[in-house]
Amino acid sequence: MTSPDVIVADRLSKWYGHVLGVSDVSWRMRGGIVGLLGPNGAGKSTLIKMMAGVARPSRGTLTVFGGTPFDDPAVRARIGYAPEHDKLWDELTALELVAALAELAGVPRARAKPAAETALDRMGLGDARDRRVRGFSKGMRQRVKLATAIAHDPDLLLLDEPLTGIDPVARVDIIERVRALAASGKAIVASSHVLYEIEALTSEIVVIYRGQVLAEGNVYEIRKLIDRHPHVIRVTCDRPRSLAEALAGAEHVVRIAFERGAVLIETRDPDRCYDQLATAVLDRAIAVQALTSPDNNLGAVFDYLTRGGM
Amino acid sequence: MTVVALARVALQRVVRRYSLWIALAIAALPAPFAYGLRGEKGLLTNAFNIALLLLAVLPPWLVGSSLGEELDHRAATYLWSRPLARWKVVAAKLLALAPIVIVLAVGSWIAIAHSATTRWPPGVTIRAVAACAFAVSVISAGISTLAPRQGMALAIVYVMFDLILGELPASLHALSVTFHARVLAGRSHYTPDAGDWLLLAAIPLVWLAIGLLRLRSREA
Repeated sequence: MTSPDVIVADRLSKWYGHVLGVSDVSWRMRGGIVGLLGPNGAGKSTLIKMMAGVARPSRGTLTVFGGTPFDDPAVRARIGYAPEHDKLWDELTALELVAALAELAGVPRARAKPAAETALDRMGLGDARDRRVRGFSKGMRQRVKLATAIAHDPDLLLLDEPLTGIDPVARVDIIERVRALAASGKAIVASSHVLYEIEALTSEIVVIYRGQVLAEGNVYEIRKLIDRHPHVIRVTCDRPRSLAEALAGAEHVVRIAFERGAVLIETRDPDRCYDQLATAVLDRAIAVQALTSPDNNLGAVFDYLTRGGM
Repeated sequence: MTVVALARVALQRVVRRYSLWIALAIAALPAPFAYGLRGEKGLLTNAFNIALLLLAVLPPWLVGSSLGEELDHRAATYLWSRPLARWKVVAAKLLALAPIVIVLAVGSWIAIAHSATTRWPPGVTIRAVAACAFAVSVISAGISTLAPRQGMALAIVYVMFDLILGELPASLHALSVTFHARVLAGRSHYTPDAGDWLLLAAIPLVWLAIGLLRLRSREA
């Protein structure tokens, strides 16, 4: 009986000289969209490169569709990979580029061009197909990369930071297109260092930090883990000390710190804290310029998780 | 099929990046200098040496730089993620670019010889230049596969060294492809034989084999 797993990593490690890229990762993926979440340098790209067969594991095993991608061309034929960088064959037109890469992925020459046209159309680049890639914007390059990844109709898509550097409108559009691909039955692994990008793509995430898998599962479960730990609220206002005074006695407040023109409140009960903040602001007539929660950005999440709070 | 597809891409890229036109300019350069050789002793041999000197630049420029850039460039991730045998990348570059190198080198040699002697060069010299151009193209490919980033520079240094090696009186010159090209062209006091053809083929193949061995384990 064949395994239903698309990807299986077992105690997978990868290092470059003395630099550890991925450390002892065991993980399996069955399908759908999985988001790899981690800050820059966390090991996401290294992991994806190994899945794509462009890097070889240093230790442990990694199988994709039951084979090892680095050694097995038949496995690579089933994978579509859009790397993080946008170094392409810039001298070619989008159509030439996508058709050439489709042909190299095993599509017969007679079918490569129509396949490339379809892929470019699906990525919203139909009108720019005859333009050279050199003149493309960042967003267009991302779309071309995605087109090169899907043109040969692979079963697994590996998208390394597919939303980096593109404008919000293009981002929404690409997210919709990636979700449509998943709906058509493709298994997709997409990485990002931005939580809300991943949330927009999928609710299934794997959190990677310093080459290790810190957590995996539903994004809401990950958020619950985070919520068990102190939550930081940053209030930029005209009188940060007065605001701090109002909250200093509250039993849920763990720590208060000051930054230039702002107060950082660390709390174990964010809901109560937000209520008391609102009251204090009104009672003391404090002018608030900004209220942010650094916990909602990924850096804070990783800090919590790596403190051993899990 | 994939070799042809890759070769087509290599050709498109070289033409659109003006590398080909620069190579044409390089190939055209020696002819005016050869004109200055007129009336000198050993005219054809000196002119032939100029043609060999050109081979220190042309193959590294076209084959070495193109292949080195491909392997060093991050775009290689697109290649390695395809179900593609890696030797095909090298084979495709050679298929696309070595014929250009040969045509340019032979064309340049004919221009050099005509410029220096006002006559067409002997057929045997043309064959020798063509064979040497191919041999140096393969060597450049091998070196660039081994050290992609410095491929072109190392290939130029190698051919310069090869030219010096070929001038040595000791048997070490047997390791020089330009030496064998000179012998095969009748521009040496050695008598050409099958061994010259054999070594002209074997030396590049050794470089290519070393490069391909390295390429097998190369990661992006």
